[in-house]
Amino acid sequence: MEGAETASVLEAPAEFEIRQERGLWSDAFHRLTRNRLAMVAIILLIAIAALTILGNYTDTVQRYRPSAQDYDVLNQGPSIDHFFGTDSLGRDNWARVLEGTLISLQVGLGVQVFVLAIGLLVGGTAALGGRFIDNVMMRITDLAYSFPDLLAIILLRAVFAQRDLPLVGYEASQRLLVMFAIAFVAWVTVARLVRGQMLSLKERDFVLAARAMGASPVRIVTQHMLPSTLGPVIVAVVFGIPLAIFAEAVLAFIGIGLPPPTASLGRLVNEGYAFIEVNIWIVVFPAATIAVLMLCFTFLGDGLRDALDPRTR
Amino acid sequence: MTGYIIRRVLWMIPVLWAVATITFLLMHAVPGGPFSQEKELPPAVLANLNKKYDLDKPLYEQYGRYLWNLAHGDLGQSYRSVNQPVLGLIEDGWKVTAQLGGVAFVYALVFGMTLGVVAALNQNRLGDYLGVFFATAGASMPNFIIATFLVILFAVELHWFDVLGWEFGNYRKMVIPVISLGTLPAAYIARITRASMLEVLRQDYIRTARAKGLTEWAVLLRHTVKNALVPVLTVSGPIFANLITGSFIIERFFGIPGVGRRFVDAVFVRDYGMIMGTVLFYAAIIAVANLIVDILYAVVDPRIRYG
Repeated sequence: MEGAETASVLEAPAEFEIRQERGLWSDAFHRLTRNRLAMVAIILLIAIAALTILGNYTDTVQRYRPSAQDYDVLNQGPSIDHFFGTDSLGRDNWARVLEGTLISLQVGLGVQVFVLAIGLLVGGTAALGGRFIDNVMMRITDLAYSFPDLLAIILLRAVFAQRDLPLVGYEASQRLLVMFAIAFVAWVTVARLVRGQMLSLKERDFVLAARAMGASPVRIVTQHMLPSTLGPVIVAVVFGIPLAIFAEAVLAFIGIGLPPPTASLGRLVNEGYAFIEVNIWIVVFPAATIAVLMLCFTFLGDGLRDALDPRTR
Repeated sequence: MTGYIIRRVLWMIPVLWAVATITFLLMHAVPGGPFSQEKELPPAVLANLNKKYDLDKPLYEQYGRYLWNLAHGDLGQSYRSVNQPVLGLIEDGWKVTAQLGGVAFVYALVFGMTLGVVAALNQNRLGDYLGVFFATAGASMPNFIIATFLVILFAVELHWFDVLGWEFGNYRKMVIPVISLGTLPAAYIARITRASMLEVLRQDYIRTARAKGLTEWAVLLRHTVKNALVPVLTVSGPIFANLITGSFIIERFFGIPGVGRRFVDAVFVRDYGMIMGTVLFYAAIIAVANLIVDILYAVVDPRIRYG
């Protein structure tokens, strides 16, 4: 009898504790899993990423070399032999779209690495470096806003064209330089966000408390302030992915993306468009792939924003 | 107010100077010059050309000379189209770009606002879900992808519209470029209109208007929509600037001879005069569009006063 009572007493706080344990991140995760569109987007993205990686590194999925030409099968529609048909030189569209998707994903994610690095550095320095540095940095971001984005990316890409980075080889340096060109323009949003967050956090009580306890500035920034800025920054970075994919596609589409024969999705759309009267399938698949990628990342970003932004609760 | 406008206009001068400087440096960092081609020119011809365009002078002298001319309203000559002033070329392109951007802007406003209002009035019903889905999907769809699918459907399969060039007043040449360019801003405007409508519909003065017996239409038009449009107005400036600066993709896609296509072509052949001219022109458009919106904002919302 007594034992049963103890058990029930113990049970109630246990349940209570479970609810308490849910911190910011696990709570956000639960909210994200309840967002159906975001979950569909995540599953699709994982599937696409798996297929793309398999397709670029195993022959069974790739089936043909992206640049291998076969003059017996020009401009074909989708079939068992060529899932996405063939183009005007008899190249397999399936293999080419897979290669293009890999580039899009690489650029989309790679740009965000640079954006995060520059954005955190500039935003953090502006917020914590005193008034003068803040003013200079913010004038720079103002300037970046008055410059038309895509035009600046095109100019930067032209500046970087045909240049070679040491160590990584021609192919990889071209990909990196395309990412640089986009990241050079894209960092501004993250920098402003980090600055705003840090400026408001600086005045909060828990930072004051940490300082009063004698924590070093480095410790305050890395242990107390950075984790609190992370939510909005993650959202901004995820929303930046489709924009970077778009920018790369535009560069490739107007002809200053990665050098041929690399099949970037934007280039495939451009090449396929020339043959649109002959065979619409050459352009349909890469165009649809760009659209699906951008949609998925946008829905994921929407879901993350709803999950992480306390104002929407 | 007048003082505010004058200050804002004056502030554009350092901004444009900075844009000019950055563009100048970037452009000269592009490998090759305006006259380097696949088939190289004889050295004597090249020397003469460089001399004619001052390219043999040191960079800082070229820069100083450019700024001096710019201050006198002279954008110089195109390096590739012989004896054509940059200003004239931009003017020609601007006529086309302004028509394309203007029509797309009107389409985006009308379609986006209608969609946003309808979605807000049907909150959490089918119309709302469709509207929200369109707004999210459309806002993440690149314009040349929309253009591709529109061309396949309406030009290749149905033969309703043409896909080459631009002719103001000829709907066969206008519909596809305008929809391709305007759908993204329309989706964005729909999203903002919906959010702001929902906000306004919760206000007390709407309940008051209903309580005093106004018809639902009067409440909707005079009290709700009018107030809900203020946020739309604030984003319309950046949206217009975006339409103008982003139209180069559509211009290239459909072979429309606007400013954007001239900029891209100029980058390809390193036509220094045209690159500088077009970038400065775009920067000025962005600055002016933002200024106009800030002024309109004060006109629409009497609570806002600029000192």
